[in-house]
This record gives sequence, C-alpha cells and structure tokens, in this order.
Amino acid sequence: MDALHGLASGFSVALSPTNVLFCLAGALLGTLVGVLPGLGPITTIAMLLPLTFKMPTVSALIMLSGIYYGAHHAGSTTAIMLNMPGEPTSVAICIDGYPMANKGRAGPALCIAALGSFFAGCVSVFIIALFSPPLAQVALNFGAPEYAAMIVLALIGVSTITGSSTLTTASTAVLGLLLGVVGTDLSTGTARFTFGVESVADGLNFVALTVGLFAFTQIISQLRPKQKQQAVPKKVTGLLPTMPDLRAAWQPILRGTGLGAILGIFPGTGPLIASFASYALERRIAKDPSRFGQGAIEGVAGPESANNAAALTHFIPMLTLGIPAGAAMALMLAALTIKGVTPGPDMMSKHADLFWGIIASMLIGNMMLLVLNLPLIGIWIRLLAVPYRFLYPIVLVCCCIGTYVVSNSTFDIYLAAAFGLIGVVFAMLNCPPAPLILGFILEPILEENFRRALVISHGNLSVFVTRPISAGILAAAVALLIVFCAPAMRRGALAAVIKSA
Amino acid sequence: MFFCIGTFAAIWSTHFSRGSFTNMGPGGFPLILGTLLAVLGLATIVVGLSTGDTPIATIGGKALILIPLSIAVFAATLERLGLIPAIALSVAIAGLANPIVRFREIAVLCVALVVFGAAVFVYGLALPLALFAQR
Repeated sequence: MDALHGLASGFSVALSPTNVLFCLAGALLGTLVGVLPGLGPITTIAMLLPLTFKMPTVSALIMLSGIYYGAHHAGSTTAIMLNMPGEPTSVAICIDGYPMANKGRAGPALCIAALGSFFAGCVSVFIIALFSPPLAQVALNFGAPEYAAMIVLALIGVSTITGSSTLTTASTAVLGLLLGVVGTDLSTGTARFTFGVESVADGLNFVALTVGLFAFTQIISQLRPKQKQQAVPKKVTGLLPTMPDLRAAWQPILRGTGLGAILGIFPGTGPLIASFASYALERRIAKDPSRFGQGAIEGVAGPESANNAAALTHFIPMLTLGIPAGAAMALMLAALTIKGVTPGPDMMSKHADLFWGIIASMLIGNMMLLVLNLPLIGIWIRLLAVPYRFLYPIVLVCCCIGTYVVSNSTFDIYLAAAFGLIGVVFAMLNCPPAPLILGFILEPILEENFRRALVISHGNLSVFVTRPISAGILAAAVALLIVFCAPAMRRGALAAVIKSA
Repeated sequence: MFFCIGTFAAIWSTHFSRGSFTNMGPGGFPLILGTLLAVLGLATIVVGLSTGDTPIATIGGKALILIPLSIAVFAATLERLGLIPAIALSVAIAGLANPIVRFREIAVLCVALVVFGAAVFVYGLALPLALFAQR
C-alpha cells in the first residue's frame, strides 16, 4: 500500500538520532507550554521559528509540530488538576476533569486523558497517511479559480466558527488580508501601502505580527492585578484507572477520535470545537446525563480524544493543499516557506522524505508524550508553582531576539510592539486575533490565484462559478455563511455546544 | 460602548479611504478588500447600535505602557549598545510592569537572562548578535 510504504520511508527519516532528539525537544517544550497557562503553542512556535533557520527542514518541522500537539496533549493536565485550562482547547476537560480530581480521582482522569490522547493521536496519524495522497491527487487538478475558492472557504470557515460574532471575526480576517497587501506587488513590482517605509517593502514581517498579536498581547493582559492566588494542586494518588473506568471510557474515546478527526480537517473548526462537540455528544447519549459535571469519566475521555485527533488532522489541509486551517498551521506554513518549501499537492512527490518524515514523527512524538505525561506528571504540576513574574521577562526577551534575527531589523521589533498594542485593543473588543493571522498569510496566495483566474477568463468573474470544483467549494462557503448568519441557527449550533458545557 | 463603536468606525473608515484611493492594477485587489471591510464595519456599527450594550473588557494598567516601552527600548538599544545592555534594560523596565514590584528579583532576572541570552543565542546558536556594540 502506498500509504504504508510512505510511512515506512518516513520512519527511516524520523528515527534518525537528530530527528528523534528534535521530536523529543518539541514534545517536551509542547508539554511545558501546554501546562503553563499564558504561554500557548502559537506564541512558542512564533518565538522559536527564527531559531529553526539553521536547522534542517525536516528537523525544524518535526520539532515545531511536536510543540503543537504536545501542547494540546498537556493542556488537559492543568484542566484536571486545577480547573484551569492550560490551553483554550482544554476548557471542555475542566467540566468533568476537575470534579474527578476533587473526588480524589485525579490519577485515573489523567491516565484516561493520556491514553485517549495517545489513541486519538495514533489513529489520526494513520488518517493523515491514508487520506493525504488521494486528496493531493484531487488538488493537483486545482487551477487558479479553485485555489481562490478554497481560500475563501477557509476564511469564511474561520470567521463563522471561531469567536462570538461572525461580523467581528470576518472583519479581522479581512483586515488580515489587507495587512497582507502591504509590500511590493508580486506581478507589477509596485510598492503598496508602504508609506515610504523601506523596511516593509517585502511585506510586514510575519513573525513580528504573530509575536506582537499573541505573545506581547498575552503578557500585557496577564499582568493586571491578580484577584487571588491559584489553588494548590491536589496530590495524585493511584494513577491506574479501574476496570469500570476503562469500560466506561473506551467508547467515548472512539467516538471522540472519530468526531475530532473529521472536524479537524475543516478549516476553522479545529480542536476547540471538536472537544466541545464531543462533550455535548457524550452528554446527549449518556444513560444518565446528570452525572456530567460531577466527574463523569466519559466527559474527560471523549473531549480529550477529540481535541488531539483534531489537532493532528488539522495538518491535512496545510500539507496537501498548502492552505492552513488555523493560526498554528499558518505558522507551520511560514516555517516551510522560509525553508523554500512550498506546501501543496506536489509536496508529496517533491519532498517525500519531508512529508512522510513529519507524519512518522507524529507517531513517535505521541509515544513520547504518553511517557512524558504519565510518570512525570508530578514534575509538570510542580512547574505550575513558577510565578508568572519570572516567566514573562523570559518570553519577552526571547520574542524580541527571535523577531530581530528573522531579518536583522529593529524595525520588526517596533512593529511587534505596535501589534502587541493592537492585540490589546482586539482583546478589549472581543475580536480573536487568529483570523487576522490566517488572512495575512493567505493574502498573497489568494490574490495571485484570484488575478490569475481573471487573466485566464479575460476578466470574466463567472469563471468561479462555471468550473464545477470551484463552484462546489464556493457553494459550501455560502452555505456556511447562511447557516451561521441566521441568528437562530447560530444560537442553535455553537451556543448550544458551549452552553451545554 | 460608544468607545467601542467609535474605534470600529475609525478603523474601518480609514481602510475604506485607503482602499478606494489606489488605482486599478496593483490596487484593484486592495480596493475590493477595503470595500468589503467598510461594509463589514458598517454592519458592525448597525448591529452595535441596534443591540445597544457592548461590553468592553478593560485590560492593562501600567503594563499597557511599560511592556511596549520595554520592547521599544530593546529595539533601540540592540544595535547601538549591544545585546547585553538591551536585555538588561528591557527586563528592568518589564519587571516594573508587574503588579508587585520586587527590585531584588528584577535584578536577579536581569543577570540570569543576560547570561541565558548570551549563552543560547550568541554562543549556542551563533546568531549574528553583538554582546556589546563596537563603536
């Protein structure tokens, strides 16, 4: 089989000593930032992106993806122990995980979460391996109109599903697109929106933008006067779940994995929605829904598996189409582009070792995480005691240096500071920054394909609706818009999912 | 509430004028985007006015000024003075942004981060950064 053959060759890449080391480093770092609140995978990847310049491409991507799924893996730890999600995606885990810990059953909860994650991770890796090649085959037939339509779908998906208000998220996405315009026009060489500033002739620096919007904004908003000191973590006694636990958990794990794997592929949905959707599903089909919120193990097993499955299948659109489905994937895309690799349908043939190497490393990384998370849980919990006032200067300095070395320009640091302030305004207005990042990174691809499509059709806009694939994709985008803009439906779909939590 | 709407209007309208200002050709695409953003902004205002209350979370305090300041100081000193002074100064300013200011801790952090920065970035990763600018 093609996929198995590919995976086998991937393992030969991923199992080289250096790559195993980088995989471990990524998993460790990911676990670390996953446990520490106020430090997310997006910030970390943006911070470390410049440091990967000198690394081989495969190792760099292996480490970055390790950080990404490691953080998703570990976010549940603090959710269970402290009722404090390390990552937003773990909010659903809090609901039943923390009550379990209160009943002295933190150990089984953690264990089930780790096992569920591991299982979901392994299944998702195979899903990626199986579905990416055929998807890439389809994508090879994509012309400019199809690509433009795909990007529109991705942006609409993100706008409708993330965040509270479709209008504000759509606005931030378009603002991101506009920011992407800044710089030299690709086809004519005209400088656009540069206002005579030479430093932005190549466009705004992506790392500066992300570091500003995520890292600096986070620091500023974390530093308000604290209400109270965090709760003292409970002691973990008895890690192993009982037989009834396992019996209750295996079905939710399966369902969560399936649900997460499907939702992860679509742009915009991703891990956050997947974990909430899984929680809602488990509650609906449970024989006794009243146990939920009181420490039902199904409420931990399902969402945690869904969360991880979605985190991994999130890679599929980026790897096969070159279209990232979320902000973290946009960063991966940037990492690849910096390395001179353009992700897309032909990546599998042109950079086969890279493609399969990354996928194989995910499997290895998931195994490492299982080992890292279970026996070492005490260490991670102790890390929570590190006060934020020691943490943020480290982040600050690393971010500054990281931003600077991308192009040795102090202008980028000022830019990051400015975007930090913009991010604060965004946070005050309740606008999520992720659509902006996505819009920003997708702008050149969208504009290029949009204009190319119009050149082919001699300026006839109907090209987007007369070609079947492009028309289908656009129809899906419109359907999404209608579903989520109809207020009743919106309340029905998303609010129900979050409310029920 | 009106602050929120006002900010929105300002952001979106400036983008509108910029968008329509450019000519066709390289400006064609930004024009589409600018118009789209203006429409969205207008819709936001309409929705905001009709629903009335818009909650605004207040963030910041002194960190709002001190953190960007410390970043800017880092940027300003990095090439003129070198990495070590840049780290020390920015950490010192950033330390003041914490609600509880403890000078001894800030001093320790400064030293630790200078050592860390120099060891990791200059010696470890061999990035082109000068510890002290030679001039």
